[in-house]
Amino acid sequence: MESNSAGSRNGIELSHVSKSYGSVPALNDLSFEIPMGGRFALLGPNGAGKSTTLKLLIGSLRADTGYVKILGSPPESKESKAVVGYLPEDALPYRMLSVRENLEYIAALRGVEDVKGRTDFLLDELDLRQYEKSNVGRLSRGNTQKLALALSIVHSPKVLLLDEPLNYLDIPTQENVISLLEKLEGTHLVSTHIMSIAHRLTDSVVMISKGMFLWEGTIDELRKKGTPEEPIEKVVARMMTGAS
Amino acid sequence: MVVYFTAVSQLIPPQQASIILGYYGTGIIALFLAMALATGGIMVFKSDRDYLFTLPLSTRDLSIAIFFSQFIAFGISILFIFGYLYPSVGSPLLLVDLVALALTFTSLGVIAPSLNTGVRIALSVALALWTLLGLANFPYSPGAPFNGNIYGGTATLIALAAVTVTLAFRGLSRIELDMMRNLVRTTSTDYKSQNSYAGKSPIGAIYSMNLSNMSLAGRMNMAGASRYVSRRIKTRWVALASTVAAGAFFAFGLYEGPVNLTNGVVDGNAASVLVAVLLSFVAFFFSQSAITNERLWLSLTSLPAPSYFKHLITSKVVSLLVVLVPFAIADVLLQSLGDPDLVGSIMMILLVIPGAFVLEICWAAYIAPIQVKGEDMTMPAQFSIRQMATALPMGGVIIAATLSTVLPLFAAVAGLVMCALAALLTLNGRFWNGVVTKLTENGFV
Repeated sequence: MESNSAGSRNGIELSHVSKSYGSVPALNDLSFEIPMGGRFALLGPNGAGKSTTLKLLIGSLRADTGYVKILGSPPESKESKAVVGYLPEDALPYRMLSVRENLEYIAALRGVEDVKGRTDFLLDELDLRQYEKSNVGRLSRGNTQKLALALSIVHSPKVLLLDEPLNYLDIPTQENVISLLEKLEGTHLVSTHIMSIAHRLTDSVVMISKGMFLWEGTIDELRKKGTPEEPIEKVVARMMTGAS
Repeated sequence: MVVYFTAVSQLIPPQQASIILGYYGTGIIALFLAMALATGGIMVFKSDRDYLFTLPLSTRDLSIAIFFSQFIAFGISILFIFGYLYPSVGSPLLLVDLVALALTFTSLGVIAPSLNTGVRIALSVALALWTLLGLANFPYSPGAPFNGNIYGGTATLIALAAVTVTLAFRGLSRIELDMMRNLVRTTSTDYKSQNSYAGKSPIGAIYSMNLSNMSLAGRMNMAGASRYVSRRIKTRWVALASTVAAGAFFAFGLYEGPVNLTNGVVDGNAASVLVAVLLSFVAFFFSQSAITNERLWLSLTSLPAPSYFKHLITSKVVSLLVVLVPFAIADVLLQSLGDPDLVGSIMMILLVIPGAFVLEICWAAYIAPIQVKGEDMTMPAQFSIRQMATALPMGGVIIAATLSTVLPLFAAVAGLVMCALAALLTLNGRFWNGVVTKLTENGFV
């Protein structure tokens, strides 16, 4: 699978990707594409290979076979690193730096022009101003998650990869984060177990199971696979387990 | 340690070995006492807090039980670390010294959290200096038994243990669950001075971060539980402390004069051995924080791994030199004042330790260390054998550094080989790309 046409690059592209950890297969001939500007949820049961997929997309793991591209570039390239933002599950910022230092350091590392302005914007937007001098090691899990999220978007990435982004956040903060992410332009891939989060943050779904591609479509199409009364979670569970 | 002892006893004649071990013993006890007080705490797992301390049992009884388990674990470690110092003590009273030391280390860990940071650091420095007074033949110092004052030194250690154990038990009898939580989280909430990275280039930011602050990390192995402790210290304070310590070393060198370890093999300043050992430890603690505190999801999504690690390691070496250079200057001054054979020590400081430092970082990265995520305890079973091997090179480094101080040719060859290897690995992009994959596969985030 190559980019869909000369004029329209995919935001994210995986082609026949396999990856094993020793003798344990994690991904098996996985292929999917997300068009530029697309907002997709990556769904799958535990051990489906969601986190491995994201780690391949940021270039910290290499595929055994197949290839991965971000806006047409390999993930380990400078071009790709300049446009990708990544939030892992249970993300931890630098615990030897304060909240502000974390933001400024990563902004500088990413070549953001107005480091101070961008830092101030995110501190206010995510309600972290009162903790700006705090030692990250002493933050609550919720505030750590807010900081981690800020760090993943400090450079206004064109491709954003999020693994359970709303973990640990209280409901008002969740709403705040959702509205912040909605305002961000670009391609988003959100790995989550929670359908309501997928529904709030994305409009389409890539479903994988046991490291293999299972299904792709919009959330509305997914909903139509069940009866009108059936919760969408039941539909997803049925598809993931292969039950009729 | 057995390898170190064997190397010292085989390569260096017994009389000199006894002197070198005396210096080593005093230095390492000073270091342990200072660290026990500076970074202490009772080793309580998160699971202990969540399950054990919520059982209908007396918190005091549980705390005392943990104290004793920690004492036994300390005692075993101390037998391994200090037991071979017997030749420098030459008396079975060493056993009493070791028990007293184990009780003191354990008790200091309990006392430490109730003291504020300033007092803790001041007391740590005072304890270390008091111990080092043993080198100057002061008979009532914790370091005295290893420098020919066995009775006064043993009496001092017993008195120190009696005082610290009493204070620790008074603390334990008042201990509450909230305090237990505090014991495992001793860092302050806010950083008083902030660094700004605004206006810095990506590479400039890496150097700025690593040159303005230094981070120390080490695995404290207590009560069968491992805890990664990491601390950030302003580089200018480290430079000041290092300069003061190097000044003390210089003054001691003037006072003591060249220790004439005659018989044709060694003729150098034996205090350099102490410096070699202490700098080996310092370099090791610095090296461990380089990777364990790293955040791949942030740094390596910003810059390619070879480029990031090249600059990270170079900046760490420069910051380590802040610690090392004052000692090299002290050596040069002593040499110029007529102290012979400090060439080996100078090469040890400027070549062997920096080279070994980079190799320790590369080794730790290669075998995939545990990432510092919090300061809670880590069960030993959570470490793989490979990961526990991060500390292995330190034994070799201590041996190499010790031998370098007394054998200049060895210092030159070992230093140049280590630096060449360190440079090759630092600049090897394939190595660092492989390291990233390995770290990620081992759960590094």
